[in-house]
Amino acid sequence: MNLAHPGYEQLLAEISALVSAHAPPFIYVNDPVSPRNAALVVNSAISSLAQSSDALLRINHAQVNAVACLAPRMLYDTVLNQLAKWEVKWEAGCANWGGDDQRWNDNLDGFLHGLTAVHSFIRRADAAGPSKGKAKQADEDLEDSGQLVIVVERAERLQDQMPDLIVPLARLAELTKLDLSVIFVSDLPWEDMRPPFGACPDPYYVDVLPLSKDALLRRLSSVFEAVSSQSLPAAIAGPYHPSLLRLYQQFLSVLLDSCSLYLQDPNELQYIAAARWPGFVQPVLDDHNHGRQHGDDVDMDADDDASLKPPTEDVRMRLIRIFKPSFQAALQTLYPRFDHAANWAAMNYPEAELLLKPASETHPLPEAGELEADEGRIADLPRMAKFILVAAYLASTNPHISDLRMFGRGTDEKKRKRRARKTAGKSGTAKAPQRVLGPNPFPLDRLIAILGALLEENDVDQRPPAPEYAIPGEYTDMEIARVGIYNTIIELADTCLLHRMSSADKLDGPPNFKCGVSYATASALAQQLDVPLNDLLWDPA
Amino acid sequence: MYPTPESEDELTLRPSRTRSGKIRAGTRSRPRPPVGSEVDISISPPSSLINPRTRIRKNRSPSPVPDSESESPTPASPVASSSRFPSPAEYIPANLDRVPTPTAADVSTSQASITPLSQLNARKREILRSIHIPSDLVDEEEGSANHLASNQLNDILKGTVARGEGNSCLLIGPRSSGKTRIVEKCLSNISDRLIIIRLCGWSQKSDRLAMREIAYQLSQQTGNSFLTVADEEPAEEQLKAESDPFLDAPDRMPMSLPPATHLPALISLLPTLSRPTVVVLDAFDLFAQHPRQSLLYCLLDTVQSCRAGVGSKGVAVIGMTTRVDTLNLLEKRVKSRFSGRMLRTAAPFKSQGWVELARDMLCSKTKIGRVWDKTDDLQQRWEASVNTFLDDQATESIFNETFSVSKDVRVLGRLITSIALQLTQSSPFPTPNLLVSAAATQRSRPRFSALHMLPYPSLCLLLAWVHTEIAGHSVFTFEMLYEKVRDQIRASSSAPVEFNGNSIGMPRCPRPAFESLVSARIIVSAAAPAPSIAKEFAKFRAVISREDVKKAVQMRNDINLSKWLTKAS
Repeated sequence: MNLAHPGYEQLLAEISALVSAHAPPFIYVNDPVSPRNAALVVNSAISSLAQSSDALLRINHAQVNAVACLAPRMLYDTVLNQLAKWEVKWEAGCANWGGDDQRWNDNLDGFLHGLTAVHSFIRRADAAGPSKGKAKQADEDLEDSGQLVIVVERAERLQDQMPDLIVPLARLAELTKLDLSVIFVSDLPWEDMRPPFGACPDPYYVDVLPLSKDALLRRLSSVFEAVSSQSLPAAIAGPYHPSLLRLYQQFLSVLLDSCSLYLQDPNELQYIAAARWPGFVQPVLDDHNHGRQHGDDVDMDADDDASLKPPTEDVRMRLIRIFKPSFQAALQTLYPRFDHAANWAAMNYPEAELLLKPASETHPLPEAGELEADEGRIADLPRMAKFILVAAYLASTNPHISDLRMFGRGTDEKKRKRRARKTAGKSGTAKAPQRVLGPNPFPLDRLIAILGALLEENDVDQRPPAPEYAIPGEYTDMEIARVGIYNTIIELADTCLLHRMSSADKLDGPPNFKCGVSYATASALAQQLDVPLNDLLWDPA
Repeated sequence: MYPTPESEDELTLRPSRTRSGKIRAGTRSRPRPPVGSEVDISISPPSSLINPRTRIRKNRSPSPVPDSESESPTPASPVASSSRFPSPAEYIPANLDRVPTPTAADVSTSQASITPLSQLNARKREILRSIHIPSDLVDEEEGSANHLASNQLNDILKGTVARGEGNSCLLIGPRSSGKTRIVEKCLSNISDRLIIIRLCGWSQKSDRLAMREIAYQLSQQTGNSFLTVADEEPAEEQLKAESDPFLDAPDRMPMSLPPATHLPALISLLPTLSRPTVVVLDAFDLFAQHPRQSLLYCLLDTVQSCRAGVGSKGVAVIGMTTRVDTLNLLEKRVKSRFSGRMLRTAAPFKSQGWVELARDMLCSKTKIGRVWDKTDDLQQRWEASVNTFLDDQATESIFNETFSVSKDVRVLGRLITSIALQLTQSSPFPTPNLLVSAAATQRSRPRFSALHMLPYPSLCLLLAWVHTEIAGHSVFTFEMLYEKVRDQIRASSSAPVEFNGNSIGMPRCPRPAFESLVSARIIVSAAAPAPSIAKEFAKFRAVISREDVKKAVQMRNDINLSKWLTKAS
């Protein structure tokens, strides 16, 4: 059993000991890192105990997921059906356990009665089952056996979905007066879930600590072993060939070195490893296949035993040097799921015949740059839309009273004065820059005005000549009064690059907007337009 | 006229099937045949919590069942009793400590290798089982609050049963001070058959649910469905028949519940039943919070108008609550119908009782006389080690600490459970170290104990939060923290030194770390989320304190982080 869950031996042992002895009525398993694994371990520990042949252990086990059971009735039915080992069949009209005339899922009381009924049902089934002749003996034995164990996964969801059920579940043994144990598995500590006023008895706490690097290594490489044992016959050289296990472990070790600082969940690490490994091992496989092709010409016999051999130390070092930067890239893309593993693996596949090249020509795979989520959206905006976005960013970030000072161009060409850099506040707190506090809403008029100032400063040179506009600024006034501007603004608002703050059916006054792009995006746009964004910001970075 | 289901009543009159429900296990089980060949540990009924009659019988019997710890024939008991009252002089405890230690050392060295796993498991099983059986050692003392309450409740119940009185009372006491235990014990003392209706404020959230439940329990216990045409078969005949156990499952409870509108009339029917009725209301204060308190009104009104000696049977209403101001919660019309009898229970006020309880739990006392007196020295060694453990200074101080924080016996049960689970084949005896680690996990847990195990980016964000808070912004956005982290990373990685292939600067900090902090409730949203506010600008505030972060950084022992933290102070 220990082999099934490397890394979680302690939890497995603790749960097995608790349940096989006599579980306390309420147990709380808290795994802040990967509650899914913890729930898996708990359930497999209990179900293997429930199937064991030990006469002293008569455990009946039900596991429910608070995400799946989104209403109390579903929870009641799932628990009762599982405890009674009743399978809901489509052909039988999906009847729940207990028959037609009896419903246990009406409310909590019904559920409690149902538990009692299930308990006596199990007892009678047990008494009738294995030892019919010695029914008397069995009865005596059964008096104190048959603990019911109910595992609730993702128990933190109960808080949102069925807050009324937390207290009764925690007190279930007391309410039903049965020998049962309720186990909550959650990533929240119990202190965050505990209902007020001491309504629940405190549970027996079981804490799952994050896995150490060693345990992670064991856990992840056990996956490799599982895959390689069930995959293709050993003759075919695949990425999960058994002889590559040693290489895989070294790969994992390097991968964990660069990723485990950020990430502790073994499932996520496994995801990254699975995305990177085929690419990592591909040069080795290429090399092998290449060798085979050449070997075919020379000597058939020698080739037969030349199944896939683990690569040499040199090759290993070289591979690691090449691929190491891409581990970080994988983490930054795959952990937030900006891309899925198959796609990412295809995009980051190494070039063919990598190992045949001389070492001086191979370069490490590129490290990930800063990913900007907006990049896709702003790539092919028209020029005017970019101006509007920069203007919107300015309008959202600068205080509105500063506009005259920032954009005003009097006849005397007075130099712009920005607010003096904030000195360390003598009293009170320094105001955080608007850049980090989030955009402020602004009226459309202000946006148009700032846009006009921007265009006047940065766009005049690129316009086609229009001799009919004689007065300075008249051409720009013409430009910003065009319908196309308003149209673009609406379009930007539709794509959420601008946020419309006032309701669409409001007639009086100008509509309000808020900028929807980040500082990084805005400065990238400004760079494209040659706008000195930092000079125009009231409180630059 | 009513078919009286005997089996059902037997079940309800079973003594003290309370709290964990495991008492039933203890009270009814016989010593089991040993598991395997060598296991001679088995389960036997504890002396406590059995019907007093049986206990008296047992005490008179010649078999040396130790009912209290004073009779325990443990080898180290003189040492134990003397060290329990240590004299001010230092040398005595030191001396005493030394006396039992060799025993334990001998025991562990000689026995460790030969204790089979199955035996250890049986031992664990036994300890855990005994933890579920609350001992009534503490309230057996004369003059204790629980003793008094128990006597009073006995009298009240006697009045109801014998004279047909209508009685109401309220048991008030802190959590796990024995309220339910006392009620169940008193109910089991009554030799007459009663109708017992148990309601709990946690499961019956409204009066209507409560009344449905009353009707259900009444029909279960009397075999009759009330206020409707009752035409079903008595359920217990089929129970007895037992020809096919699978067939009677659907037939067992075809009781139709009376319609909700008729239910208030049901309560006034209670005194007319053929047997006296006892209504036990757990979490009484919650019933008082139901609108108009109609259930309480009906119940207490029925109780008050119940006249003795006019052919009706008595009704007793027993409430249990932890709230001391429950009486003030009652409406005037309800309060005037309540008898005002309030019985108080209290937790033991001496920590010595705890040590004895722990001894009982660890040794599973109750069967020593019967099973162990003739057997090998394994049990003796076990007891010696338990005594050594309980007499240890460290053990004593932890018990005292725990007792001063919470007098809840269940905390003690958790500590002992944790100790039992930590026993291994190589160290099969309890030690103070095990208790220390048990106390760390099971007792008054620090709120943010695992901060230092957070992923690096999360910790960086928390440090940035410390800086932000010192700057005076208690409410922050993700961007505020992220900018600080980014600047710090830039500053720290400016030194172009590499170690082991990695820059010695701080590693970069991806954004999902923030969301993990939110989902761990280390930081919480300070304003309602609005669709117009981008995620990175939503306002949050932290639940933790600066001290927590400081401790976490110290435990993490990371130079970059500590340097950054020192900048903040």
